Amino acid sequence: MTEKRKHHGLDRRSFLGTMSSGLGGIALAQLLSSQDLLGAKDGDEAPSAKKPLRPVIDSRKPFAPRSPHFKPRARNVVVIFCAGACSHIDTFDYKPELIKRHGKPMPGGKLITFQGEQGSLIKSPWEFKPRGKSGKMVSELVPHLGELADELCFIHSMTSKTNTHGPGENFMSTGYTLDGFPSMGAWLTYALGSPNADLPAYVAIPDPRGTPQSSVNNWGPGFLPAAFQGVDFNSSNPIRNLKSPPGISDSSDKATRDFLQRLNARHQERFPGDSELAARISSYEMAARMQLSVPEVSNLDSEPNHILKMYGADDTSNKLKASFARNCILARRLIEKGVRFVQLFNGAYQAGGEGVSNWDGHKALKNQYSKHGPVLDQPAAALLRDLKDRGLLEDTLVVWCTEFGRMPTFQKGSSGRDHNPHGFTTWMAGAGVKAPYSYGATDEFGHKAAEKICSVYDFHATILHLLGIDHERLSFLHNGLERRLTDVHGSVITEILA
Amino acid sequence: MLVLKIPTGPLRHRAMAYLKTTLALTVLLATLASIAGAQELPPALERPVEYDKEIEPLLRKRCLGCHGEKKQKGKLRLDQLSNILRGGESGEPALVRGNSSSSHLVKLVAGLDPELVMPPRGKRLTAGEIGLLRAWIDQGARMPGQEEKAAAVKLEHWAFRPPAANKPEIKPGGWGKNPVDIFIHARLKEKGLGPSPRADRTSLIRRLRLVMHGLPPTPEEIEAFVADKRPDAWKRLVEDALQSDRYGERWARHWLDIVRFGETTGFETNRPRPTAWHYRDYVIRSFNEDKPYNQFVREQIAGDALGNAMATGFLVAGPHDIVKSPDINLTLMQRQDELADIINVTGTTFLGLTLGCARCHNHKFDPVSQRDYYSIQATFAGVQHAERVIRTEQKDPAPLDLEISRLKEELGDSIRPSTEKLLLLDDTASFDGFGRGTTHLARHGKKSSRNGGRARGQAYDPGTSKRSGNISGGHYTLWDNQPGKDFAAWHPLLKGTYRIWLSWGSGHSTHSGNAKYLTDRDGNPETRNDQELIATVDQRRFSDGSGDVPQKELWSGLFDAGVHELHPASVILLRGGSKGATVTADVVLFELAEPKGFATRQPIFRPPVNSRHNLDTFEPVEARFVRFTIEATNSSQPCIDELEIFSGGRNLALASLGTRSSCSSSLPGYAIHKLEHINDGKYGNNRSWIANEGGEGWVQLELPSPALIDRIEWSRDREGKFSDRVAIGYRIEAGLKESDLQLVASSRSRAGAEAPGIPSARFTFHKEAGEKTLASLKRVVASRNQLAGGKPVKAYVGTFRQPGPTYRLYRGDPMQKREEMNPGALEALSGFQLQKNAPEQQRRLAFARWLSDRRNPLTARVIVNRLWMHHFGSGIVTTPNDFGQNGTRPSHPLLLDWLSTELMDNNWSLKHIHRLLLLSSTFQQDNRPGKKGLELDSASALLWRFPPRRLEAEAIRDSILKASGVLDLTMGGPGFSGFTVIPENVNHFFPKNKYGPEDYRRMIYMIKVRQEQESVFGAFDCPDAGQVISKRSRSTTPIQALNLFNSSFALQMAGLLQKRLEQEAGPGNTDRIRLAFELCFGRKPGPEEAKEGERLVNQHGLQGLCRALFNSNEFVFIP
Repeated sequence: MTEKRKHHGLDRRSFLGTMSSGLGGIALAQLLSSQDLLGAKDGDEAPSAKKPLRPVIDSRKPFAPRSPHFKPRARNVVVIFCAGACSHIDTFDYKPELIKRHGKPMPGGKLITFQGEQGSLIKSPWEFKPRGKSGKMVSELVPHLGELADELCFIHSMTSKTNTHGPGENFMSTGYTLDGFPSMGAWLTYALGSPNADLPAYVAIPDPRGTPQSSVNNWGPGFLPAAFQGVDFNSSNPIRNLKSPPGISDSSDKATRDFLQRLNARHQERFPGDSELAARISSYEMAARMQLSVPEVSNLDSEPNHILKMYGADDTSNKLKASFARNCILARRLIEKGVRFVQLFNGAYQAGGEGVSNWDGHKALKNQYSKHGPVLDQPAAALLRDLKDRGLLEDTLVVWCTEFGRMPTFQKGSSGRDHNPHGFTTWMAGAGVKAPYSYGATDEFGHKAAEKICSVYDFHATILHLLGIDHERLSFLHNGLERRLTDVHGSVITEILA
Repeated sequence: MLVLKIPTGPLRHRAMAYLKTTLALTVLLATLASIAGAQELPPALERPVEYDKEIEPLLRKRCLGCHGEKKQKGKLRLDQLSNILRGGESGEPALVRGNSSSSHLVKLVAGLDPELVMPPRGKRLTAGEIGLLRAWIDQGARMPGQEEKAAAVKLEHWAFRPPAANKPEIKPGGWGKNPVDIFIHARLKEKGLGPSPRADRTSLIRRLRLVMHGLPPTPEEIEAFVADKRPDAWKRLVEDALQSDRYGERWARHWLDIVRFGETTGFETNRPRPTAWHYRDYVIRSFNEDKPYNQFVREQIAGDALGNAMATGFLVAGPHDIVKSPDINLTLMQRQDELADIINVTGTTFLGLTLGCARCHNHKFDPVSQRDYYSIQATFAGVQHAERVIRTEQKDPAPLDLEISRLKEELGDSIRPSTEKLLLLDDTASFDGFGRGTTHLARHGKKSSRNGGRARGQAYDPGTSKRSGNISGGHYTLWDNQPGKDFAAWHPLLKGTYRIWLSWGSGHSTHSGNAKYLTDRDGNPETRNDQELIATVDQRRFSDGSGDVPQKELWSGLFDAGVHELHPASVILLRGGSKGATVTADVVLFELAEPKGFATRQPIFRPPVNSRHNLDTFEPVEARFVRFTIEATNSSQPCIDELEIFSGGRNLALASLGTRSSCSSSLPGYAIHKLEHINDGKYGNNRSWIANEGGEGWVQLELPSPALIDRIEWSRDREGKFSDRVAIGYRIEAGLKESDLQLVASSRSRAGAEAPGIPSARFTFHKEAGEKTLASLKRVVASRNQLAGGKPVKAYVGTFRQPGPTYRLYRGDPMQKREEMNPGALEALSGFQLQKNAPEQQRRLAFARWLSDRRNPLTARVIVNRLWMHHFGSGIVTTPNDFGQNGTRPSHPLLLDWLSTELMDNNWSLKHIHRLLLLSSTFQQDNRPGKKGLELDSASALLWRFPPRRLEAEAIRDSILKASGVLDLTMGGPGFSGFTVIPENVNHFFPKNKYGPEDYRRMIYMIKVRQEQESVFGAFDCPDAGQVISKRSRSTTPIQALNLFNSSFALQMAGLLQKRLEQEAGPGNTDRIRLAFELCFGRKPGPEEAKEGERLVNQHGLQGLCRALFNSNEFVFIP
């Protein structure tokens, strides 16, 4: 068994063995058993697999906080997702060999990839420079993020299973290339609930330009209860139906609500103890709280000028950047309030797709990335810095990812790079990960992951692990299968754990 | 090198033996061994080998420690022939009889796969031992005494055994009305529980209707049932519910969840599948007809062979990745995924088994081997995702025709004639969706294009002050002439007195010299006594009879056919005359002629606006500012790709000349749609401006200095790719001062408010009823069009072609083919096997028969369990898609078996099962909780009461529509959209925020868009049709509360209910509140409720009350 495969959770026996002495231990064991966290009751007798852990959801309080499987390193997560497949070659994966062999064919003969035949090796149009104390080479496309290189834990050996955007986004967000599986945020919300009873536990913040290719599937509940899906809004588009409808006065709205409340209360009297009915009543109460809390958290007016400036939210020359910066500030505010999982999208598929409004640089890489780089760079860097300044990075994990990477070659007859699922870069920062750190590597051209190859399953397993979840045990019984985020794969990348 | 020339086989063995004796070659031998180890197998012994004497001891010594009776690592057991042949978890049979070199076991012990060597630890097998094994395998791998066992797979699991025969007897004096109750009562007694008393009649009828129809009963129906004193009142009510068409709609929805039916492709493109609805209609019809379930099953697998082609929509109802790439790995994997989707859905839907795991390895728990999986794949290997042309049954169109003319008459009463001053209908054979348009009555109409010039009759003829410009576009339709034959019918759907202006394609000497036009009062060309000849025209020449015949395609101009009385059903017919070889059809214009005899001159038009290029010329005017104001578009926010201002032939508008632009608004966030594109000299959608206002907006250009201008040219998309967002109503103003602009041109002088071929007038109505009638008319006309002449229709039901060979794939990897498979089914459940080259259709047919055979132990059990679940909230087996070892065991096994036998014994009638359940006392119990019940069985799983549960999304929406009085019960046909769809390179779906009669149909007819959730009801656990869903979760979230409380849908419906209350309940609030409670809850308000209701209504109006009722628990829960 390799080091990587070592299991960090507690199994039932060792857990009870170490914890069950004393009253506190018994109480805890009872608590866990009442939440069914010590193994499913009607589970299978799978000989090899670990026993599944299915959190028991109280339908009255689906978002009530639930205990992780073991002590977590992080309590919340921000995922920054660059839609369109952001090139590792032009951002974080420095390849001197590409500079040397610029314009030469890649050894190994003709290569056919997603859109067809490949041309020559092409170095990044952006210069790489050493950053921070670590001297990590980061490209000039993302200088602000470069400045924070010492805070980042890079995984340079990521691989995907697909070279198509939709399935690629599905895979990164849900662990399956197909549609209809629960997103990572949904899994985490299902497992852990939320400490904040006034805000959604899971928020997806779409790019100012629109939604990514797989759209809502990126934050969908799949077959988990709908309660666990991401609620999508950003700094310019509030939650749909959050506001009381126009033309209805506050007093009328309140009178209606009160009348409804009495109707339901009277109805409930006939069904003492029926929790589904009670749950609906409390859902209206939470909705009412959200009507206050969501506008408050979305209102950036109280943010001081230096913060707006740090994020670039005041940049009048680049409105798109300013708009994405506002989304980044919103992400921080949500984390501050204890929202469990925030997914922040950079790039959209509307209005042109293919490189125009996202990172899909097939045709005019230099031109298009010159626009996308600044939109992402300063705001995302500011988000990291701000989280750190406020001490939030102590228990917040920040994850940067994308669908897959891009080729070290330009496409034949074009000035851009084709899809490359064989090697790409992601990074993490904050709670529980080493930094500065670089894990794994692609080959000399950045074509294929070559050292310590990391699958999306491993990536997910690691994120769950940091949140105190054993990815092999968190499950949901669907169509006869104990479904997991990581299917039947994945190992925690222990080497990057701080 | 010498060693590489060593022969293979027995000869090689001898050569090796020779080499071994040569000491000098020891080093070389070591090299050889490693090469051989990597590439070659030690030779098989050349003598007979007996299992008992040599093989069994060898296996015992080296293998059975891990793969024997006590331990079965990787689920492999090497002391049982059945297990050896089936293989362990990997799905790889341990050996292939007669072929040792292809046998997995041999490869592993010989170390050919460096990642998997057996035994994993300790000494490896010697070459001699391997040779022994090989010999045994090559000789047929006989295991005395095990041959029979190998053939029969043991099936211990309850679901794989035939249903137990049992028929409980109803004892007099006991609880319950039918056998269902006996089973339920027995379990309750075991637990120390008893049943609840019968529910009251008001609850019963409401429960029945919500469960069976997904709609509440009307207050009148409740009253009638409560008052029905006949002893069989309930039975009659149940029977009525089963005979209603609402039943099929409700239960088809459950079915469509399971088969992941969607009307878009899913994945990133999510393109529409506009003909997928045929399958939905098929399912609804099948439920309503009570089609025997075994037939229903068969048709969905092989309906093309069984006379029901629409049924195979099942196979291709799932998502489909249409993004293809030259990368072969991707393509092969995509095809494997497609077939896996079909196999999975077949397994879960009909058998309640997950077959998907066997794609990579043998099923860990159930008797599904990897070989089974690929046999099934061979069965479906010819199925392709695609539309197919289907000839529908020839049906009599007469009833539909009758319905159409009735609806048209009805509609005519609601149309405001004053708005119908002009109507233009062109010659294309399509309806505009409003029941108004043109049909072709003869086949083989050809489209002919006109020359694009500006001369008289050419496509861009601007006209003069005496005659209209070409308003017919660049095309007309022509047929080979047949005297007396009707070629086309224009359906203006007008009521009143109209002047009819005809036109045709002219310019050729072959055209008819005496084509005839007639009015036809009832719209049916076959009845001739209601027809009136209105014109005989010379189609060779212009409408005024002038012009020579240049043998070019021209437009005739308008011909005055006089003033005629039109009825909504009236049509204009084109009939072949005696002269000429060709008849042509083109636009017909209807001009209101009231008061009668109103003398008119020819209407003069400029050509209609089009998307590609529009010209507005005017008297030269000195201007510095030009403002283009859009008043209406054909859809969404307006788009202009370029606006040009000409002065003496030069475009002054260009930004490069210093002209500045401003606008009312700009769609944010789109790099390709920006104001600066309006005058950048570049054409096309990617360089265009879109306003951020629906149907309106303005853009203004400011020239650097004043100039004399006389022409504006503008377009939506000069590249011709997009024709949405066109400004069809506009005005252009120009002047020297921004505050003082003069109108220089507008759309008023153009023909048609929209692009060519679309009627110029929109409908407005006296009454809202008109819109509803129109919606119905539209659908009936669509059905009629399909019937026309037994017309073939396209439907998304898959295509079938003879597939190539199917191989078992090692670990599911398409690059690692193993043996070729025969088409077949699950071997353990008496699966069949066909020849490898069996015809495609025969494969599915055999599979369909196997599925629906009464000896199949799963099919009947699975469906009766689903029926049970939708009556009582959860199934007898609570994992309805998993009847395997991993599923839950039935709570009432004998009941499940009895029901499935009942189903099969009663011609697989689903309604028979419904009756059994609905007539049981179990179903009719009260739903209130009892302390003991909650303590012992909080989920009410044992049915000590009827378990209350929240309605599904569709039933809530439908119930709201019904209570509001607007529910449209039109069945079948294409669905309505819950979204505004913007087709970019992928589709984008934006939630609607205004709802009209189009949206008032039942939600099952809402176009099922994959991934996207309908903005109000999606949050109520609507599946997104990505994965098979057998059991919806029933979650409760604040988003649901916000949607139902604040959405414009909920508000609009509350407003409609308010209107209904005002109309139907008289002037007093007390009566109105009472009616509101009756419509929503089926009961009168209690005294407190009435008092509180009045207080609310007095202070804040009725709408708030309606809104509260729709949100209440009582409304959304099944009582």
